Amino acid sequence: MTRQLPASKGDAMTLTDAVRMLATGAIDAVGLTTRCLDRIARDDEAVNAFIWHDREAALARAGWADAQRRRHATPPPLLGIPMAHKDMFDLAGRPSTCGAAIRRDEKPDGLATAVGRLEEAGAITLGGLNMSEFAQGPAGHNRHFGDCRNPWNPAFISGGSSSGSGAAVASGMVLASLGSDSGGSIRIPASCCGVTGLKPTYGRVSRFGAMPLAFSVDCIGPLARSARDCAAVMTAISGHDPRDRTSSAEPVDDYAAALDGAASGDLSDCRIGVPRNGFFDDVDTPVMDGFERAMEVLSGRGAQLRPVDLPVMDAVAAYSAVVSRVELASFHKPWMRSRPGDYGTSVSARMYPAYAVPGVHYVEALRRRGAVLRAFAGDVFGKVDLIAAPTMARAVPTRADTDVESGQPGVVARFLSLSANTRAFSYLGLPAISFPCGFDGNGLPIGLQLAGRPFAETRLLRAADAYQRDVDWHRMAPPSRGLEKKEA
Amino acid sequence: MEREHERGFLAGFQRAGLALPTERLDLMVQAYAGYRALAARLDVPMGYDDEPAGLYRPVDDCNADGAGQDG
Repeated sequence: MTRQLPASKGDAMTLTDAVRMLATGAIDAVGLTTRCLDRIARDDEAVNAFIWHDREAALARAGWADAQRRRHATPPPLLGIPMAHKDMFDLAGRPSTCGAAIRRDEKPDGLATAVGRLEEAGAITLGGLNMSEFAQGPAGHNRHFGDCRNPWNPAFISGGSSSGSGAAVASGMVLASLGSDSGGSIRIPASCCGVTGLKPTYGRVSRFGAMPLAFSVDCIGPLARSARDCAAVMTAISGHDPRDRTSSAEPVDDYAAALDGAASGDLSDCRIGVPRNGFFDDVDTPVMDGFERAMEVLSGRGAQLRPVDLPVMDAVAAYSAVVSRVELASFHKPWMRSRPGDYGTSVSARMYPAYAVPGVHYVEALRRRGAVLRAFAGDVFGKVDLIAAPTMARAVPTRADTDVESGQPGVVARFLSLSANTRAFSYLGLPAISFPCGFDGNGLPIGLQLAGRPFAETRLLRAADAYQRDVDWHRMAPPSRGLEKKEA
Repeated sequence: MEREHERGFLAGFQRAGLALPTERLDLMVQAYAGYRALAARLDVPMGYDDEPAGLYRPVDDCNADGAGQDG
């Protein structure tokens, strides 16, 4: 059965709450930043969400934010909001390790567009968040900086590869973070940690200054407590960037304003497809229970639920694997030649075989993407507006059960199955959101995934926001881990 | 088939200019064989209507068995 109450309710302040409190003077940026830094000091020994953080710089920036607020009648929308991001963005001279020993001492001069836009909107960057080495791996293990742990129970995975992004938001160490998603790396940690994460449409958010993984599928997007919080971040970071020629010139909605419109909370114009194939293989009972309850809530908001058959899902899984692994291997070729021993064993193992994949197979997998997308457009999005499925079919596993370097029987299959429900939408470049819809028998969160047409971010956020008006799983906070020790 | 995968893997690997510790060879050949199993789906020809930009592809001139032998 899905648990009706979590282990601890905590004080789950959302980004939206913080913006309101800053505007009314209920709190100032220095106080808010100090609160987040105190959470880091209290809990990060056990959670290991941060690779680095800079307390003095954060407090100095917070002081600046308070001064700005006193000067300006209409301050920038995210002024004084503490954030931290997956440690893979150029941050103007600050570290950017990509979770890798190879980049342990890297401090690139440039500034990633997405982070720059958040800072222009007033956000405070506290530091760099833990991640799977070079964003490879859906569990959150890291041999170089230590595993990121699930704040609900450190024996369990945080999800990855944006592991620290999910864990830091869930723990209240930050109010929002950026992650990257090439096969599920925003949605999986969002699901495991009980927060909301949005993988935008391919090209919606600039990737300039972000470490690439697989260039034809990589996306940058937000993790935060609520859909409303993600909307605020998306409004700041979305849009064309001349420095990223793959970024889209498609007009950007005001996502935050869209949630406050006259029809907000009403899903009567929304048809949600529940796949009859592909996403429910081997689904765990608590996950299915949480999914069905979530469908009832969305239906209560007016959504029309319809069964759908998704075309060529097996083929999509195969094409997706070929494309992402070959692109990954291509980017890492210089280091794989010169410093192969500096990669974690499981990380280099993901790449070695890809160097022998014939080029014609890669090109063939790419050329089929348009046809598959057309099939989705007709067979699926001709009938429904969104697709709903559990973000992960299985309950959150332990770190031990998914440690591929342990060599235990079946571990590779368990590891790869974590992204079984997320990879297809990455290959197709479609937007998808994950938000919490309950807890399993171990007290770990369950995530619901909705996916939509290209550039349907507003519709996804509206659906998730409608759900979160009725159900407050996203406001649940894990208990303090302050008395627990981080393992070596 | 296993020897064939090993030969294919080593040939591709050599072209890429990489070296592999001997003790990891068996596992990597197994992983490569997994890739080839996935890639077999790519040997099923696309229909003309699915071709990007409607470009001609000599589907009828190929047989599915022969199409899988590249690399």
